[in-house]
Amino acid sequence: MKAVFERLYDHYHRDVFQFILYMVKNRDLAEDLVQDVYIKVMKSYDSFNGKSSEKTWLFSIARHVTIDHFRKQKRTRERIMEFFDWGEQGERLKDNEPLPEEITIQKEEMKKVYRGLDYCTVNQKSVIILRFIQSMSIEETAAILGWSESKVKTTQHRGMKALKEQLEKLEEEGIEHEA
Amino acid sequence: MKREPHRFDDENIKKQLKQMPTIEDHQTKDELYRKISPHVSKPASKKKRTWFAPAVATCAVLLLLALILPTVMLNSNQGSAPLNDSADQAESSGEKANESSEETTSEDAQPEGAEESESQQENPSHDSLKKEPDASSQAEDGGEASFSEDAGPQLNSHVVTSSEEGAVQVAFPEPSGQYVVPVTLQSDSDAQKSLIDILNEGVEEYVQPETLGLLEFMLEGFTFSVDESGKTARITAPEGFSSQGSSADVLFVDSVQSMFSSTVVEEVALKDNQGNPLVLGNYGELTSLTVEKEERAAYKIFQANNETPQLLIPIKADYREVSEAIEELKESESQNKIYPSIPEQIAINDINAAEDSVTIQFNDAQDWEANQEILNMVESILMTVKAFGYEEVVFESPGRSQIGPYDLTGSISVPSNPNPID
Repeated sequence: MKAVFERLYDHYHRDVFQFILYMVKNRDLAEDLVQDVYIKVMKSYDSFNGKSSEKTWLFSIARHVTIDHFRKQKRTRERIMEFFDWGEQGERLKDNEPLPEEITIQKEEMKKVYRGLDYCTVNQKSVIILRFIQSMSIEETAAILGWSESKVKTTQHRGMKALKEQLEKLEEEGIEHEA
Repeated sequence: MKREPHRFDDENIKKQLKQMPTIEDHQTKDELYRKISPHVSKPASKKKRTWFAPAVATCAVLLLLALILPTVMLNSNQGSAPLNDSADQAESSGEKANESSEETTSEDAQPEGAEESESQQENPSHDSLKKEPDASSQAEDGGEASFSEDAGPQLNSHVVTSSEEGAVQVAFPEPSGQYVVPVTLQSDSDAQKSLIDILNEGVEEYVQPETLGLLEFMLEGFTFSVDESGKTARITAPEGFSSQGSSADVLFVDSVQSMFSSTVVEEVALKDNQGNPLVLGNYGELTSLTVEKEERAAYKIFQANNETPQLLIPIKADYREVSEAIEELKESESQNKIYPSIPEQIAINDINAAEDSVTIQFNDAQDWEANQEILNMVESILMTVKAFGYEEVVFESPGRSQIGPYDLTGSISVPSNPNPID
């Protein structure tokens, strides 16, 4: 079992961790979730049928683990918002995650793009991370998400549009602040 | 101070995304493994075994009963002499190729059983009884080989012993792209050719990886040299070389390690054809590699398909000690065509590593057949032990005294290289 783990780790860990981290944007959480991914992978490795590549398989498990997390988080957030009637303030909760140090040292423009990703849907975010941050092809992205290539293309297009709108909005707000 | 709004267009956003930094996981591989291993249940596989063994045993008992009962009943009608005959015959026909009991006809038994009474020949259950030990022992081999008592010449060795000089080891990735498989070129026809000569001429001049079920050589087109001391090798990439992704980078480095591991080269310097460091995504800028002399690998069996030969494949993991790697030899990775080299029914009681030698104590209640499976087991253990820097292996209570070229009653020196090809 250890050999399988080691091999999967050596080949894919860095990429899988990137994916989860950019999805959830919290290092501690990403570290917990990546553990869940390996637990699921190791438990089901015997039944992995080799129809997809190992990489595709590993990423699709990582995606499911992340989506499960978002579902749980949404339920919790809905309960909190109901209770306090936070409304818009609740929406802003996601802005307050501390930036990983690797992002802190980057240019302002990149930090904005990083923050802007939160305003995409989970699907849009998955596609943008896989396609651009992780430089995967449309074909590979489609295989991981279990979608058709055209769905990847449309989701990518909508995601980029949402991201752009959000960035423009942030920019205008910034200018107003400074004015 | 006023600022012009920044224009965010698709291209600019994509550029920012592509330049997003790599964020490292702060937990190490070992920490992560420690955290997950309690959750990845051994019980699941043990559970399987708890029902599997009794189920197999029950089936075997039922099958035996089905075979024996008619015989016993028949014999009780005819007296005891024919039973002894058939038992003798079971031994004498032990070397016949296997047929399933259903396919076995009384005709098959005739050449050897000509002196038998008619009543025996007419009764298919006798033949089934006679064939049974054979069928089980050769199930793995498709019945092609017939083995003499002390291992026949039909068994294929998958290693080169140190007495055979001039062996050159190269390496190719297997089709799942996870591992590299070392292959040893023997110098019969190409006497005195060094690894460097062969690499510069083009490895595929000497061996066609597709015939072995393997993928193309990872360093095709590279040029190779060694310095005067022979301790440092230099590898230069062909023009236009670029990283093919993180998996390919791992295979590239594993190929280099594998090829030089059994040479005197200690360091491999890498550069591109402009003299710059090689840029490999996973490793960043790579200027040199220290050759790992102990690969600390578990050697299992790889076979791409029925048309290609079985090969020993080193599975590298951070095994803490040789015993851990030997335990790994029982694990299957069949989706990658990688199979256990220790058969499930072989029980190891203890593994002891002393200074230069490793002693493996088997369960002395077991007999081993003289078949390829057992030879593979012995050779995979020898290679695994070598991979941890030991020099010899002692098999305690082996299930037979000899297999292939190995005398299992004494200590056996580890081989020098795996997977010889002519």
